[in-house]
Amino acid sequence: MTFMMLPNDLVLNCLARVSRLYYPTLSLVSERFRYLLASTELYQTRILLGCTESCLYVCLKLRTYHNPQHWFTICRKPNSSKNVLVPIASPNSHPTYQSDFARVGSNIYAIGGFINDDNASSRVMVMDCRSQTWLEAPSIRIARATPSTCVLDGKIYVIGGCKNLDATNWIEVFDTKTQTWEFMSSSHGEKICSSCTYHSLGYDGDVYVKGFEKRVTYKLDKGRWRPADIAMDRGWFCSSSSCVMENVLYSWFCGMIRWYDSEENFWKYIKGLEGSDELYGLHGHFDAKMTGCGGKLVVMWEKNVYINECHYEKGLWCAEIALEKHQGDIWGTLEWSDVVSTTTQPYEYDLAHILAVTL
Amino acid sequence: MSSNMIMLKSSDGASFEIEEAAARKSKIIANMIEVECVDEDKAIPLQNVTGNILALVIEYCNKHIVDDDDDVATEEASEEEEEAKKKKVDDWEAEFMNSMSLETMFELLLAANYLNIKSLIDLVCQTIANNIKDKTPEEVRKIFSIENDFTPEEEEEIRKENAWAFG
Repeated sequence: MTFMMLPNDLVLNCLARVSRLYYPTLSLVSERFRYLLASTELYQTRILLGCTESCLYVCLKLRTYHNPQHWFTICRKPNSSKNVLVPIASPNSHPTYQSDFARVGSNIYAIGGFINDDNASSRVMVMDCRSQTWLEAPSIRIARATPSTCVLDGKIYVIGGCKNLDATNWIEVFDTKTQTWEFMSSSHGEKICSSCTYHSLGYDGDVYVKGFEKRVTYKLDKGRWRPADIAMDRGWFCSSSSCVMENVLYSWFCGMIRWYDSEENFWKYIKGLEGSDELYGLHGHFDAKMTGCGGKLVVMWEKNVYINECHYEKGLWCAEIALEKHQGDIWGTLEWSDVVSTTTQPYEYDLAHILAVTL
Repeated sequence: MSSNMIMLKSSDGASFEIEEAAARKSKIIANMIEVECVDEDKAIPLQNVTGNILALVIEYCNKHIVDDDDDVATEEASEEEEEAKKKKVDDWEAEFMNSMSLETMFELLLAANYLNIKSLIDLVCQTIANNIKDKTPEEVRKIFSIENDFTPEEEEEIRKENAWAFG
């Protein structure tokens, strides 16, 4: 009697209980393991058993011609407690260029960007994070080279991304249920639709956008664009360095994590992290990426370490912070922080996006 | 609580006497009792379970029927008592699973599946899962006697894909 002689449902029952951090390694055991670990049945079993986890997906942008984007997950290195980035190797994976990404359910959508010959793309690709395979999804109506996307109530909003847009077509909305794109009708869009690039957020039931040129945040409130609260506007700068979790907006700013207290219209620092040298050694570190991951905050950033006078190594760092609300403050506890990837060619890639998917 | 005794007979002809309440942990046996397929003088034949595995199943059911009784009796037990009791059960289960080989574990899982004892399926699957995690592919193959059925080309491809994580 061996493990592989057990019927599939029992093998799946065992594999579903193993943390997904080990799946990249286990996929190398045999064909049947590889097949089962990418199967829909396995993920259904994880849901039935209550074994779902929040899994981190990381997008790196290679610094070669056109800056192709590649996706990675986090894997626990066997016999160690070390987490490392592993590439997603899907048979039909292909790099995207300057696309923006949106996560709905277990899918990651790659929207717009460039295609090979420098033209803006209307292509939409979707990766099912269970099988980790990319498929083509319905295209957006207007090709957009540098769109910004955000998600609200299961709908994907795609904002700007090319020149000559007007108030009738600057935003498209994708309904994931009906799989259709529509231009969003809204009033008072004329004031803000002229930017080519935006940052956007789905927060507190509204879509928030900030144009690159005007740098003022507008929110879509009952079909009408109006300026967002000035205090709120001043505290967030970039979609990928901000995140919304349980209706709280968090933002990374110069090595500090703040959250927006919408009752007091005030950005507050997360308390209790002052002693975390790993995080606060990053003072002035502008570009960190942040996402909510199973009720916790995950922050990733790049750090260069000099090997000698002329050469340095680039490390990708990741930190997970547990949060607790207490008397009008949010307290954070640094659960772990470590380097998840290093390269001796610092110009090889840049950290582009991070997303969490519950699987 | 009924203390009726019933007889179970394994595929290799061994007979076991078990309290009905313990036997009812198996949904299959409970169903048989419900529809009165059980003749008091005759043993229930379990054609898919050998004697040594059935003995383990019975040991598990006997242990857990006592626990279930306790649950009813001490409804107002304090949190600490609850915790202490849970720890006792966990320790017993850990010891129980520790005492058997992987091969026995797989047979016990098949038997639990056939007899439909959900908590035992959970226990065995969790133990196997704990054995699989945090191992290199080679270690998993060795421990679980799994053949590496990738072609050399596939293996090379996989090795390349994962070079920067495992290299």
